[in-house]
Amino acid sequence: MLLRILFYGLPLLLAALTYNGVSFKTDLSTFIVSGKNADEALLAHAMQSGNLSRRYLIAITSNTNQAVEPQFIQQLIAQLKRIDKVTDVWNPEQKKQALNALQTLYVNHANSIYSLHPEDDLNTLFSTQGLHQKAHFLKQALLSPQASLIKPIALQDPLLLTLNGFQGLAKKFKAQPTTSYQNLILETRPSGMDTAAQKAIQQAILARFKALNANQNYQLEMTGVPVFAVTTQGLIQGDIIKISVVSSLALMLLFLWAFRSLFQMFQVFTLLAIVILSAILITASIFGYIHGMTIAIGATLVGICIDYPIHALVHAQQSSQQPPRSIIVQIWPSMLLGGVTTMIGYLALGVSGYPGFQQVAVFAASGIVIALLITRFMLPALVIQSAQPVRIVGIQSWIHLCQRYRKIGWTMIAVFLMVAIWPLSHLQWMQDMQQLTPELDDLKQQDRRIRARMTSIEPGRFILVSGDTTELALRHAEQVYKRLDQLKQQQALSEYFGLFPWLLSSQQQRLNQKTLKAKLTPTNIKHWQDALQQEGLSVTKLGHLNYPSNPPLTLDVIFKTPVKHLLDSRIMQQADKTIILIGLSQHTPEIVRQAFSDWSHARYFSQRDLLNAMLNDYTQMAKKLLLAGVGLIMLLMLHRYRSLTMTVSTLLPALLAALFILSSWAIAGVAISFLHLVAFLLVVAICVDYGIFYQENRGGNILVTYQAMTVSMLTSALAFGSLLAAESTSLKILAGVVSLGVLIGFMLCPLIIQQAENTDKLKN
Amino acid sequence: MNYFGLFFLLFISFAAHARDSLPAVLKRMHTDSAVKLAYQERKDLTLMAQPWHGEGFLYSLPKEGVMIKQQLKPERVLMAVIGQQLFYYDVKNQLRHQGLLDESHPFSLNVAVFKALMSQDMLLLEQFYQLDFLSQADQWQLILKDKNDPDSAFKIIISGPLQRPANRIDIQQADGDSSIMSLSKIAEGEKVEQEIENLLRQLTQSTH
Repeated sequence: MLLRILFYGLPLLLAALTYNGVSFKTDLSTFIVSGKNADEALLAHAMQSGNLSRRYLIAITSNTNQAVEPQFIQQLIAQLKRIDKVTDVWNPEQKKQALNALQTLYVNHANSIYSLHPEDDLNTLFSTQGLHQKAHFLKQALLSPQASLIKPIALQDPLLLTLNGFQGLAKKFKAQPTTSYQNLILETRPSGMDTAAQKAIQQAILARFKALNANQNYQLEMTGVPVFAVTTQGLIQGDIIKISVVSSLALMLLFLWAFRSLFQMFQVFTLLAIVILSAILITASIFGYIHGMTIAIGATLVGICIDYPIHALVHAQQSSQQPPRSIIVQIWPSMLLGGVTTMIGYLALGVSGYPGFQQVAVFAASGIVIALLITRFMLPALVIQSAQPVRIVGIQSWIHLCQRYRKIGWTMIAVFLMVAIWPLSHLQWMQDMQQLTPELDDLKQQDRRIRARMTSIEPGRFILVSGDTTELALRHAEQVYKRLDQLKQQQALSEYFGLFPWLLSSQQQRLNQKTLKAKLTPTNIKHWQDALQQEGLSVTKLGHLNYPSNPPLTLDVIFKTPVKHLLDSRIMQQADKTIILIGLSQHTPEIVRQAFSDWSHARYFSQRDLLNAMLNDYTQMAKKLLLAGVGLIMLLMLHRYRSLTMTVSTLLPALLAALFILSSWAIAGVAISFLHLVAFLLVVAICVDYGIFYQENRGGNILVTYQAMTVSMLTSALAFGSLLAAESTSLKILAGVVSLGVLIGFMLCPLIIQQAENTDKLKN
Repeated sequence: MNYFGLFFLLFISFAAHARDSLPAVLKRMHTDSAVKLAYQERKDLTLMAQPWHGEGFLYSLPKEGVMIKQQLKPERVLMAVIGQQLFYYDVKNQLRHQGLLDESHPFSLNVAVFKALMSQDMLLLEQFYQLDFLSQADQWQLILKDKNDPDSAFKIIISGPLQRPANRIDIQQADGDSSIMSLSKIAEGEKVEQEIENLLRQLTQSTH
């Protein structure tokens, strides 16, 4: 009685504990892979929670051929700034911000920021022709529409050194040929991965835009880490709901059909509730939280854990002469071995290197252990034997067919083996990790489209420069600029985007000041005054070159101005490390990578290459795991059976099932990823269970054993098959491989395993 | 205020009568046709040793929101405002610039003023400037001052003979710079429209 109260009360207790004590997460941070070294780890951290992650890039496009009205943009910016948790909204057009910064900040540092090559640049400027050209340029500028900008600069900096670096910068940015679109950047206080906050912000952005765009003259598109995070979270949540509903309904229907007993269904689903809730609690207690993706993949555990009570119930139904306890004790060794082999499959997931799968492994392993323990120690006291033993039509005929035509069957298997091995040489391995998430293709295209309008920087590829201090990182960056200039001359690179002219190292700034001071000789000043006179410019106002020796401009000072927006995503500071990202335009990756291969503080970094290298690592790891897993399972069986023939025949249905799928996909040209290989391992682990049950036939009646296997196969196939309802490609891969695999493995058992003599061996 | 944007005001071919009022003048100045004016300009800039002189033509196509300044002397330079965009082309040095007139650009204010004048929207005009209209014995004067700082030295004076269009604009900047532009209408209608099209082609052909 106490056991019954405990059994039926446990789900409620566990549900209450789960509700109150478990932290659920759906953000992607656990699934984003951190870098291999300190630089990449810092970068990954910045991408997950730094400025980069907290920014939206918003594109407003005109639906007509008319230009986007600046007034509309101003009103929209004002509206967007009022959204809760939005810290700032600005126009990313660097030109305007540069012009403002020139007048307020950079003009005071004209003599220190003007060049990376002060000697060369000043030699050109202080030639007779150079000074005349400069005076002419000054005059034209004062007569141009930009006179209001130039005049205050010229009064402090007659040589217009302030403009030197920025003229080069202006050339790097695309001239905006049309105003039919306008980009904005919106920064939020919460991390991009805080999907609840970001979802509310995205809804507010759209609502405010809609209110302003009553005439529907414009459309709004947005991109950025928060957009990807919210979309992916929506996919995961949708997947969990769909999978839970589909798999629960399918399993209930299957169970009712097979056992024709609502009470037994209630018993088994109570057991499953205990298993799943315990697994959630154990996983959350180890990791501190549980991820939505873990629950989605872990839901397939239902289809596996249900196997143990199914075997117990089917055998109890069929053996009315024996009490349930003795029947369950009788089949326990097979269940235990089956459970251990399945656990090997799931643990392989955990060490495959894919971070999210560590949780899945713990979740599944704890679930399997609990399901086994309840089936063994609680279920015998609860089972009420049903008067209606389950009989699935066609099962008996299939066993007879396999026994009668075994030789033909084996011949067919031999032919299949020969045919199936050939296409394996054509197996395609997935080269690009982005192929794993095709459901985000639309967002990725939108992202590329919006970013392409801004600059020609190739996203995700840059030179990563590091230094123990910001000053050292800046000095290293200045060495990198020189190398990049050489690469431009070699046409291996079309353009790069460093921190110059926004910031130079203090060392370079002092050198610039010193070099200029040396050039301001009475002779040179006289030549300048002559040039001014020739152009009709005021010598009194512009002829005295007084450049004060101000302290070098620092990042801290710049970060107190709007220029911060332009730089803070390109420089990352920590207590003992500073990283600078130098963006690259169109380039030849191999040449650029080679150019920095022997540099200690700078290297070529490609986010996509990094991800693909990881994909390769995972795939290699998955291959090794597949072999190790099968090897381990084989050793376990050898230990149990002490017969190589029995071990091989128990494993063969599973291996053939995996081989069949692999060959089919090789023929179909499907690119194989580490996820496919991990799924194969799962197929092997689950199908080996079938082999063990069929091989050992502990109940003594092979028909009853195969009936029980049929129900458990159907539950596994249904549980994994329900993942097909998911949007996530990763889950669909698991669904396809495992569902088909378990079906084939199950079908092959009676054909491959000569049951009668093996039962005798085990009994002996 | 930058002088260039103010040439918009020149296309106001209004005539004023003795004891005329600004609303009455505004009512008469609306035009949809293309207009071409010849101009001579003198600039007195604090950073230049002597006054600068220039001359050329001004074009307007109000219905398209197009304004062009074609400077022929001392060097050929084309400048234009098309809608909200500003174009600059230094023919001799083959220098081109293109930008957007947002609220922070000095020209934006002038464009808004121009639109206000063309649409006879006195309220809009009064948002930006303090307006003084004077009708003297031989000429009329429209004086625009910074509404937020009417005591500053900044002042625009548009003037013309009685019952004649504007023929002079004086701009006095707060920093001491000033310019005077004298002008006379020389053509109007379809032929001018064609000239405008040609000039726009030159201005925009390489910037796209």
